[in-house]
Amino acid sequence: MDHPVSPDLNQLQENFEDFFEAALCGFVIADTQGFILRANKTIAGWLNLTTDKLKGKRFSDLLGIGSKIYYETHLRPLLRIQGFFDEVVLELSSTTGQKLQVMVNAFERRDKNGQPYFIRFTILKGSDRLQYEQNLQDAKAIAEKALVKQTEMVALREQLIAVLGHDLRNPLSAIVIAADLLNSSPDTDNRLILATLKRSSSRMSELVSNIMDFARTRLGEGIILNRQDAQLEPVLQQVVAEFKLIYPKREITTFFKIITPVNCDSNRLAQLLSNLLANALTHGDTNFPVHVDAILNNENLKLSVTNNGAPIPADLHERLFAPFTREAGRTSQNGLGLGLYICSEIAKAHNGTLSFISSGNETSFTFCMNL
Amino acid sequence: MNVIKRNNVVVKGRGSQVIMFAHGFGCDQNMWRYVSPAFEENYKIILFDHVGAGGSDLSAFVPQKYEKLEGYADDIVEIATALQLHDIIFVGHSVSAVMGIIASQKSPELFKSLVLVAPSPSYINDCDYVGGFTRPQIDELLESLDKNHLGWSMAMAPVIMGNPDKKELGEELANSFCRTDPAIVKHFARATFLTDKRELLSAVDISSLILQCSDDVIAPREVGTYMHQQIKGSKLVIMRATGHCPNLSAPEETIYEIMKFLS
Repeated sequence: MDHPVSPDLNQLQENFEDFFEAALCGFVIADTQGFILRANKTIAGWLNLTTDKLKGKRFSDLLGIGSKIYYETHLRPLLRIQGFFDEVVLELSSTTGQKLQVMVNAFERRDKNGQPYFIRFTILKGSDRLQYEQNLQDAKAIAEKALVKQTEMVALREQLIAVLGHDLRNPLSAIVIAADLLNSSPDTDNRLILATLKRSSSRMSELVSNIMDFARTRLGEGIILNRQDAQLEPVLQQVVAEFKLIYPKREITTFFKIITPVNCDSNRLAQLLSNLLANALTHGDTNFPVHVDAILNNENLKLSVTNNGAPIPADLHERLFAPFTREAGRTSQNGLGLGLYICSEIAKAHNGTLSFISSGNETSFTFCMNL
Repeated sequence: MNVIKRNNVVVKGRGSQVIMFAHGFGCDQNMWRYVSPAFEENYKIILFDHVGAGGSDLSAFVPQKYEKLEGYADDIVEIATALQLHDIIFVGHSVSAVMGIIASQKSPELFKSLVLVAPSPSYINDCDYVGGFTRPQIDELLESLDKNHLGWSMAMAPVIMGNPDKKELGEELANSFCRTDPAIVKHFARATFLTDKRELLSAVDISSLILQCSDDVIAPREVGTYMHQQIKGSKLVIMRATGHCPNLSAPEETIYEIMKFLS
């Protein structure tokens, strides 16, 4: 900033005119209605105007629109009632549209009867300090947001532990009972008991891997893929074969048309199919087969699992892919409610989608990935 | 809930005819301090603070309720009911003028006439309608409100520091009037400046006076004229007073016009 320099410093010591004009802050004197009677060179310089041009303007005309409304609704009343206001942050708006943050004090000079004479304003540049205040406010907002997120996270973790304790107990006790049975009757045909053992232990293993994935996706970095060109069909067939072993009484039909290798994480797609298939077998009508279709064409890969049975309740549709979504009243069979969440995360990681149609007597989940 | 405490209601005056003064956005019942005394001799004066302003009970501030002017208008009706008021002359400044219109249509049996001081039914320009502001300008206002607390942080300081007995801090307040929680100011600003109540005007059927200031940035002259055209049988006075708060800047003229209208 340029301060007018006078050649004779001795003269300046008592020169109040110079003190006023070249002060380190802006000075404005206005009439009782707020029209400027006199303004010093300092504020005129900030606004790119001459002091003459400032004369006759309203003080509020120097302000940006937000500050102007604030001044008219808050500060002018305050000045009239209280006789002054201090430390108010306003924004000056220059003729070129530049904004300048300032701190303003004002004072209403009154006569003996309390009638106003004129108003004085002192205006200090405050960009740095106000920027700092803004930074503090921003930091506070960020910290508050982080706190909310952390609180949610804690709630999720607690929920996870509660659900986990409850749900792992069921298959575990089934395994214990089956083992006891095998132990006590070594001569009987043990195929059914073995199937139970296999089913329960694989269910547990599925729950555990879902939990691990949940921990990684929701509480960590998300699902990391190991993509390579893979022959997908044998991988998917393997999943189906395992389920046939676990559910010997259920029919699973397949239609696979995947001739060329697909760039994907085949283990993850196997996991996706495994989750969808487990759902279909658990929730579907046991009298009807479950269909698994996987078709690769020039544009995309589609993998779908379809079962018969009562549709998914409408109130679940919206949050079906959210973690811990379970059908009311069927908790013991439903697992953690993480399966579909993991599936949708696997789909997302492949830049693909997971969608579902559930109406009438049929429910179908489809994973679709563009090549 | 104690309505009287909630709205910091003050009853004054020696008359029986009720005159109720409602402050607008930006301050509290202090807005009427130079006007209301002139009515003490012949009227029963009701002053109050909107919830969130002045000496109102801040804990009664429910964001959802006060998202709309209807929430504030309900409070006006509740005050009138609690005090068993009737034939009310309602004097509303700025946004409170519109609250008065809402209240008078909700409970017409309570109100006798309306004095609308620097009123505006909608602040944003819309086709031929001149409200005075564009939407981006109002957005800028809402944003800029974050930057001022007008003594709020200092007022709260003794409480925050856990020694409310320490009075010195409180007495050194820079701005001791019109203190409001910045979050509430912002909320009130939204309710005020984003509201469009033009459709209510033609349904006003009690005698009404519009006091329009001659140089008002907040409610320009076009708005006063518009309201006058829309409200059947209304009286429009263009005051010499400038600015948005004639009740503070020109109390004598304000008193004179109200008294002339009432006589």
